[in-house]
Amino acid sequence: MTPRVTEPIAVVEGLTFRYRRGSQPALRDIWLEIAPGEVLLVAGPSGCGKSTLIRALNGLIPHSYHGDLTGSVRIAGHPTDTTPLRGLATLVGTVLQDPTRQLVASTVPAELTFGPENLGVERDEIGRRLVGVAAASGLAPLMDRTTDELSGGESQQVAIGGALMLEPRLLVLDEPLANLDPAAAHRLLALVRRLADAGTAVVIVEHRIEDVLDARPDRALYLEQGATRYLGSMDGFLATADPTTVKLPFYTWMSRARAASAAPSVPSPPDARRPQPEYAPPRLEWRRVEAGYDGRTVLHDVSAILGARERVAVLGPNGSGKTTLFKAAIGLRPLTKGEVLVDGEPTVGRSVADLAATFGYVFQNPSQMLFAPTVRDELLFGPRNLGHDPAGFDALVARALGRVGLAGEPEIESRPPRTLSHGQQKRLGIAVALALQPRTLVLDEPSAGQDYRSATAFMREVERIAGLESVYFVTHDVDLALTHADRVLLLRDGRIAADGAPSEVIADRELWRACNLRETSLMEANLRWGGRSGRFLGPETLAAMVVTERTTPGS
Amino acid sequence: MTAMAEPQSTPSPWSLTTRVIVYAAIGAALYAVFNWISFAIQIPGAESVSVRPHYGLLTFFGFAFGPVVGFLTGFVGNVVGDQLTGWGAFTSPHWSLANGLAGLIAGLFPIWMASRMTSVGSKALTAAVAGVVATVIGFLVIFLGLVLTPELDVNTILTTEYIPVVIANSIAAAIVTPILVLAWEPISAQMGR
Amino acid sequence: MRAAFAYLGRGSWLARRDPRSILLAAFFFVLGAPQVRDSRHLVLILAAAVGYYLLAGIPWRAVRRQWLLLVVVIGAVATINALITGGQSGGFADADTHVLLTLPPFGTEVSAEGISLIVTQVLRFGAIAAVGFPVAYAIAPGDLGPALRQLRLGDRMPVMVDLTVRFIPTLSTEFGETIDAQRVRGFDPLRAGGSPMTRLRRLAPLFVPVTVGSLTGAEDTIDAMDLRAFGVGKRTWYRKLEMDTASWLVVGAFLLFLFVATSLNLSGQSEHYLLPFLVP
Ligand SMILES: Nc1ncnc2c1ncn2[C@@H]1O[C@H](COP(=O)(O)OP(=O)(O)OP(=O)(O)O)[C@@H](O)[C@H]1O
Ligand SMILES: Nc1ncnc2c1ncn2[C@@H]1O[C@H](COP(=O)(O)OP(=O)(O)OP(=O)(O)O)[C@@H](O)[C@H]1O
Ligand SMILES: [Mg+2]
Ligand SMILES: [Mg+2]
Repeated sequence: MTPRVTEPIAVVEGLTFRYRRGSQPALRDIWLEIAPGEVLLVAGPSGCGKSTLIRALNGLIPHSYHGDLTGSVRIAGHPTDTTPLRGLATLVGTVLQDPTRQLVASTVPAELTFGPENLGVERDEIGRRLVGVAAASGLAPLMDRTTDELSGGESQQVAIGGALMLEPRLLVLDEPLANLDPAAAHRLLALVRRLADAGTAVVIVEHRIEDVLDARPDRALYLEQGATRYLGSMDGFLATADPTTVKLPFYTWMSRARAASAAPSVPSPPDARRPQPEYAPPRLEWRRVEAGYDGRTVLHDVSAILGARERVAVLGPNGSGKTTLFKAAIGLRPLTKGEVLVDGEPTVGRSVADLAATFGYVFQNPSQMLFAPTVRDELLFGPRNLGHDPAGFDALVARALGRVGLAGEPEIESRPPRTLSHGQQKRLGIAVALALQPRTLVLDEPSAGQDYRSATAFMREVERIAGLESVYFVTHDVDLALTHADRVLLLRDGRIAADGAPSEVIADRELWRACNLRETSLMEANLRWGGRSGRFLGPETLAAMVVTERTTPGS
Repeated sequence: MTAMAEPQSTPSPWSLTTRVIVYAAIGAALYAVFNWISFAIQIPGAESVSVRPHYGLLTFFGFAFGPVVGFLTGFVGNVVGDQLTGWGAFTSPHWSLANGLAGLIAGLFPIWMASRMTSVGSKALTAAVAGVVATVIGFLVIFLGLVLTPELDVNTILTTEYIPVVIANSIAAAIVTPILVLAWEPISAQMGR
Repeated sequence: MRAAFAYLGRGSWLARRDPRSILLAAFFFVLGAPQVRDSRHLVLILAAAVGYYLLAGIPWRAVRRQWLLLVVVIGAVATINALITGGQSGGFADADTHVLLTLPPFGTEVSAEGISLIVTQVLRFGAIAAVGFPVAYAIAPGDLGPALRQLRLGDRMPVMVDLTVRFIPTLSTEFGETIDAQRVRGFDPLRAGGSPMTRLRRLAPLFVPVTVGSLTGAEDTIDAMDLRAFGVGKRTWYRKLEMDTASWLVVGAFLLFLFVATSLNLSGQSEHYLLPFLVP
């Protein structure tokens, strides 16, 4: 646990930073020391300054991002404000969030050698490092690939490799797990741990704290509004952190709940207000469907039926075909075999837009459709295309925004959509889908890139949307799936691997693991205590229930 | 210690900074991809009268990010784009040059007109004008075709190439450039470093 | 549909050559070919070009559609040119043309000369395209940068070109995503009709999100490069290309062609050839 007693690799003293265009500081009076071989977890709600801290550590602040900077950051004794980036590059290695944007070369080897080449390192020396890094970070099987063929997990792996080629003494990772399936995330974190054991200091920013525990962080830094709320041991963090803002293991909820149970009110479970699902009639059916991308078959002989009043979660490894499954359903991918039925009718000959009136489809990354000058025009694009009656537009816009909790925003209707925060853009994506008054909502990765609180609140709000009969969602977040779905679909290599109630599906642990899914503490707890209710309960509800029923907990 | 990190004195519009290289690469890639897609869904032969949104993209990149980005977007974008469609990277070098020059000229306008572009509206208007002027001047280069295709004469190039293409591209520039300027303005204002 | 430079020629004889020779070959050829006007010579040149093309071992299926489009485009362009000039240009200038027929409505003349010129251009462009293809399909991904570097284009331009090629598949995938997202909202990218202006405006839902999105993403790319010290000084290039004898032979052959074509041209021995069987 305790970091080795040596010279700290990074020293942050009274760091306060305000972006040139920022209204108030993004970081306030941060004090921090990072020792070699230490893994520091940085957590906090969206916008709290995590990425800003990363930029301060790797020197982008103040070299590339300008603003008011007070206090100091020293890396291995070098002040970042007077040391040029080329000097810092050999000390700090950085892995950014978006895997597709940070890879700058066409092939994996070229990507790895990029850094040392820029620094004019000798060729044979580069060759030596290439061999070492490839072995150390398990990149050997990827060496003959081009960077655009890599999956999300592989891209992050290569990005880390690229950083390691400069033999940094500090490695900083900004939300490296976003969009990775649990198994890929686990591999990545195991690599991080190995590096730390080899003496590299690691700073890792992440919302998925339960996952990050795989890397056995030594300490945690918890930020809110740019200021330090907690800095200390991991145990202390798990004991004190607010489990509604960051995703903590289930046992931490138990301790909180015990404390709370002293207080009179036990939180009334939102889950309890849920209507019991009615499976019939079927809304969407795939019959022996085969589909793919120019010549390459992704879905093989897929058959499944989703009910009109069901909440279905689709889980599976990266690249298993989850997105393709729903794209095929609404006609975005042509079927090479089989057929799709909506409300019992074959969809052949029906246009995508026509089907979209039944299925509100929210893409993995909603911002890639935002184009209109104002939020209002964005919302009305669909209805106008489909020739809806303009008379109802004002009401339509108001309703759509209200349902996703954006109505409150000042002048929201006239704002350029792209100027909204990431979370707000995600909500707008749903509002856009709702503007076509669908009966079923299809969400691709609703929680990706959002902090834990937003993600969970987001799902609850979606379930409350009036007039919405069913929600089908694709996700890598096991707990989100289990607690918000009546039914789970496991996809693997483009085939349905399992289909049933959450409790049935997770019964087969072999299969569960084979689908790159992890056994979360919440899942175990539900199996242990939540059994009677049949459905999976959220951590808050379950913990409260367990405590009030005085079941002896054992974490 | 206290440090007021100054925005570094804005480098000359001609220097090849990382930012310039990345914007140019993205511009060129987008230009090639758009071009490729409109080629893929195009009635062959109708080249000269076809709608070419990618051309407006080129003048936008020049206008928004400067002459170097504009030139590289047009030149490299066209070379790579021609290669992508199979026409061949060097088959019509003068066309690549023309695109490059158009992007470059579009990139000069903000430098000349800085004082005039007070409102977003005037900026969009300037962008449209810049796009058209850049096209009319830049594409004079295609008269090099006289050398590269001896079967052609000035009259032919004028009637079958210069005029139709300048018309089609001017329309694209005049429509697309302002649209992109208006879309990019609020976001860049928010993102700035 | 996903745009990318597929390495289709992998393993072929040409793909095993130094990419610089492939680039130089195409370059010399484009300089040389226009100087050849005699369609009889161009027939031989086209044959040679196709032979060279075959060395790249590009599978026919993969490029069939491209060739088809090319032939149509080349044919159309050449025909329009010839009809406009009516064979009055190039080497046939001020020769009294042999009119075969006149087309309504403008009474455009179709002359033996005009057709000869069409044939000439189709032959030449066909050859140029054939020599161009290997640049796209027979150069290994990642070798383009080093090749340009070793062609003395400095440190930054090769990186920029490499970056462009690297972004093409990513951006075209994102483009596809955007098309899907908008189709869900009742948008039809292929909808025809309306003036060019309206059609352009109608495409805004496609090109605005893709452009803006890639520009916001650029911030990450810039950081990723700055953080690995790009452009701070002299750069090493780890990948080192070697010109083997065969590569030199390729370069030599095309250089020779350029030399011959130029000298024939300058000595006025390459004039347009009027296809005799067309003359009434
Ligand atoms: N380039 C910038 N210019 C101005 N303000 C910025 C800039 N980048 C970030 N900010 C602001 O600084 C604050 C902290 O941003 P930061 O990206 O560090 O948060 P974060 O913790 O990384 O959030 P997330 O978890 O969503 O990535 C936010 O209020 C943000 O709006
Ligand atoms: N536009 C495309 N063109 C070609 N292949 C694609 C395209 N989109 C996805 N694929 C491939 O199809 C397969 C399935 O992709 P899909 O996006 O459905 O997987 P996924 O389960 O959604 O993965 P993730 O969890 O990463 O989103 C992957 O191997 C992917 O590489
Ligand atoms: Mg961040
Ligand atoms: Mg997906």
